[in-house]
Amino acid sequence: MTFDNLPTLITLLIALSVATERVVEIVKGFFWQLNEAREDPRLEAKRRFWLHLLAVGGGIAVTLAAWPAVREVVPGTGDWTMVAALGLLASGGSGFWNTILSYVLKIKDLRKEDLRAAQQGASGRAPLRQPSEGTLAP
Amino acid sequence: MPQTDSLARFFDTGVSRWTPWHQSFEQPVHKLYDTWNADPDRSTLGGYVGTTKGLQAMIQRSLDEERSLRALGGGWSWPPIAATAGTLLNTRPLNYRFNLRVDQIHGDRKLVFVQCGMSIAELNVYLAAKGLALKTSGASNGQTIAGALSTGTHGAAYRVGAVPDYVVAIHLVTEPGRSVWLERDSEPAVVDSVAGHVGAELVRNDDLFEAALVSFGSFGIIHGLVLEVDELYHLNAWRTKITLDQALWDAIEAADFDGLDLPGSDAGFPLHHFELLVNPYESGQAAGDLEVFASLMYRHEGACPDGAKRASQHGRFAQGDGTLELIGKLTDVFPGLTDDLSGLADKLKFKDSRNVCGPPGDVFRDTTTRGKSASSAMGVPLNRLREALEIGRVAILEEKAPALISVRLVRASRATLAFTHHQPVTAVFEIDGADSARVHHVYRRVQDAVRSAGIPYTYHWGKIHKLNADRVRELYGNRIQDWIDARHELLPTRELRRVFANTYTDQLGLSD
Repeated sequence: MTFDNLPTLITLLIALSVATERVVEIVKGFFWQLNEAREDPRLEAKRRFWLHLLAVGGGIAVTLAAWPAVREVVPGTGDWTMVAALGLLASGGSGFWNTILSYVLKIKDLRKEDLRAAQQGASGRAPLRQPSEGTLAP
Repeated sequence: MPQTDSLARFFDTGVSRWTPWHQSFEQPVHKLYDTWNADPDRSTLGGYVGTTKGLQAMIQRSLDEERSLRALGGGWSWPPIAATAGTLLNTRPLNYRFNLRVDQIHGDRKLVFVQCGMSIAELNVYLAAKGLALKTSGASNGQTIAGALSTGTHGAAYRVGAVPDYVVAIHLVTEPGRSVWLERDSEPAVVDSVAGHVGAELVRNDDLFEAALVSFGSFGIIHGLVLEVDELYHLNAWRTKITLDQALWDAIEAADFDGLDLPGSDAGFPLHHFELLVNPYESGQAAGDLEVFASLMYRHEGACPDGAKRASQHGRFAQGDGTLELIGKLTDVFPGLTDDLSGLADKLKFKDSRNVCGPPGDVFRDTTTRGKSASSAMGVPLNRLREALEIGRVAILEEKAPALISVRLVRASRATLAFTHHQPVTAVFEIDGADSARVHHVYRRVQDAVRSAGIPYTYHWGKIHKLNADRVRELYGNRIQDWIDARHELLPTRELRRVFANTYTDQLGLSD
């Protein structure tokens, strides 16, 4: 994997995140305590905590369920740390990963600029020229 | 007096902070100028002399303002070797190239004269068009020739050496109104008149020349270089896994691979490039015969062998520094991921390929990515490589650092401060990885352990090291004083020496 296929990894995380969001929505539907916002700030904080926990658990479950597809993109043996890390990342939500993806695509464009700059000099303000060969004699 | 065209042109970039290619630090600068020849489309002697005068005017201004002045090449080094809070001159656009006639050359050699800003990539293209090739270069090609020289950049050409070993004359701009054409007295490169053509004072002195080769921009501004080159040759490259067993260790320690059954060796061409990549996580906790990736290149003076795949600038292999940065951040937070992600780094660095062939310019390719990777290269004698490698392998495993080890063999250099000076061949033992806290811990641990084991070692000046003035004296001994004496001879006043010093040379005790 190179930087160039980092967008593929992030696209996978978006897919996992969308699935995790669906899992959270389904589970929330079964429990009104989770589904309805509370007016009491203390109870609302508690509800949000459980939703975050549910998102992480959902992320891990989705990653495990999708492992045959995930391993095509992510190298490694898939021990628990890898699954937990991906689950945690998936629980960030698809909106978050969409934003990251747009950043990464922008960075790819910048890297093309970096290459151009490297070919031109530190500031990259003007393209380098390739002068014709001269002789060392007056 | 040589005829002078218009002086060089200096364009103020307006940049107040400069970052090198690998983003290893950020340097506030007083001014960063792009430096251009008056006529960038034609290499003319008058234009070259005009640029020399422009550089001398810049030195005068730095003396007047009491500021440091550094020539900036490709910005490839990790430490602040080219950095200064004073004035930075981007020399990258200075890429004139000159043919040397046979009657201007001492001996039967192929020489070209090029300006300091020419990159290795440009040189490869220029030389290939003339049916010539560099004897060796680094693994990538973005460095300028003057930058690669000044840091002692090397490849893995164990019969050839590093970049300083094919530079045979240096045109050094040292002060207002003075520049010197420096060559070895024992092996003059060009006839006396050439120095006069470029308006320089001819100095033939082995000690000064060997000291100026690896001098980090501290001897003045290197404006031009005479390079000894070869007829265009081809490299037949093989990259595959092999076992680092006792037979291979014996060959490495003798720097003699004849008779060894290496991939690609059956065609009978001489081995030119020898490099190993060790992934400590794949090779396991126990020492013994290690499975390593070997990169072997055989030199063909003629065309590529039948059936070989053609090397191309646009092939699938590319480095992935940006991904290394991501790996570094992830493994700092989740150490348990290191094992898996180092496998990924392994794949980034080397892909299995067999029987690929091309001229050097197509084999050593463009590095297209930029990011916070880390690299540290240590030079050790061949007979101590095995111990050093084991120290590095264990340190990486115990620190759970996302890093790989590569080993390259380089013929010993004559340059006074070449880090590849261990005779007869220096083993360069390199730890590359993500720019993470764990990798930096490994660098410190390895330096301490190698020193404790009594292994003679040196460090690549352009890569990460943990040296200070005392340690540099300890490693290089009398060579340091020889280098300082040579600097005093070429830069006779304290003021001049201050102009060509920076915090890096201060830290290493090399400024005065």
